[in-house]
Amino acid sequence: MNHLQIPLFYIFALAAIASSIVVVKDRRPTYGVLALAVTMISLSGLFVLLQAYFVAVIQILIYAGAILVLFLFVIMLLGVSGAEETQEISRKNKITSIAKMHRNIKILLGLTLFSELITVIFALQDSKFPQGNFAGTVEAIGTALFTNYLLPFELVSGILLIGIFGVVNLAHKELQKPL
Amino acid sequence: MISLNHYLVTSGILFAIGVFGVLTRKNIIMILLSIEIMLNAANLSFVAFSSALGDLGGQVISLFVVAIAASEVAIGLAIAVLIFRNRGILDPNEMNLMKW
Repeated sequence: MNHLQIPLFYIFALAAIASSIVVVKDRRPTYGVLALAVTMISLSGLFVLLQAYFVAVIQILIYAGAILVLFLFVIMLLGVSGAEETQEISRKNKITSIAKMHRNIKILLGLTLFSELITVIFALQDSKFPQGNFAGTVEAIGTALFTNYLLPFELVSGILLIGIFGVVNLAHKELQKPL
Repeated sequence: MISLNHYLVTSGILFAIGVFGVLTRKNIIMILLSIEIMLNAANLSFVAFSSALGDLGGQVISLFVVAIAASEVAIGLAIAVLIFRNRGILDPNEMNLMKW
């Protein structure tokens, strides 16, 4: 297992980064959602390498199984043509230099944030992972959830309940006249 | 040997990609997808620290992050669908009804 860790880490990390770049760059929303599914699955592979087995399974179940399906439902509901970005063509007719400058500023902002994060990370003391019998199994996570983290757990259920109220309230709104 | 910094750098790259997506995309659904990338980058660093420090707290927190991401996506998509039905737009730059 130990000698497989290095290639597996690089495979999963590169897959996650490449597919998230596809999410950000591809103009078709359906492809973006499918690429995000690849990101989630590779991230859950990284979680398995980190011995967080329960979190890895939950990642696949909730993200790939529930959240991304919700995204796909909404894209289908709005119509794929409606969800696609049609502004690009009309924008090309306008002055593109300002748009290009804005884009460069955004790239610069992202790179600044990234370099800042990297500086902070390398200021940390690098540590090897302990080779003990520590693992995030269902039993260990369940024990932690229902002893030390009982109050936050209940609060999260409250947040989910409020979310359900909000969504049902929004879904029952009468359609206004188009403005 | 893979150390903690490898995971943290991966998480930083993913977070920066997510920020870039939020800043550049012109479709509210794609912005929500980029927010998901950022939340997952945070999750990855939580789990990496949890494994490095031998404390299960990080993994528990990452479960909370997943739950909150689920409710955030549900409400955000409901709002996006309502705006699209009422006004027929998905571009956040054109959602300027509250701008005097």
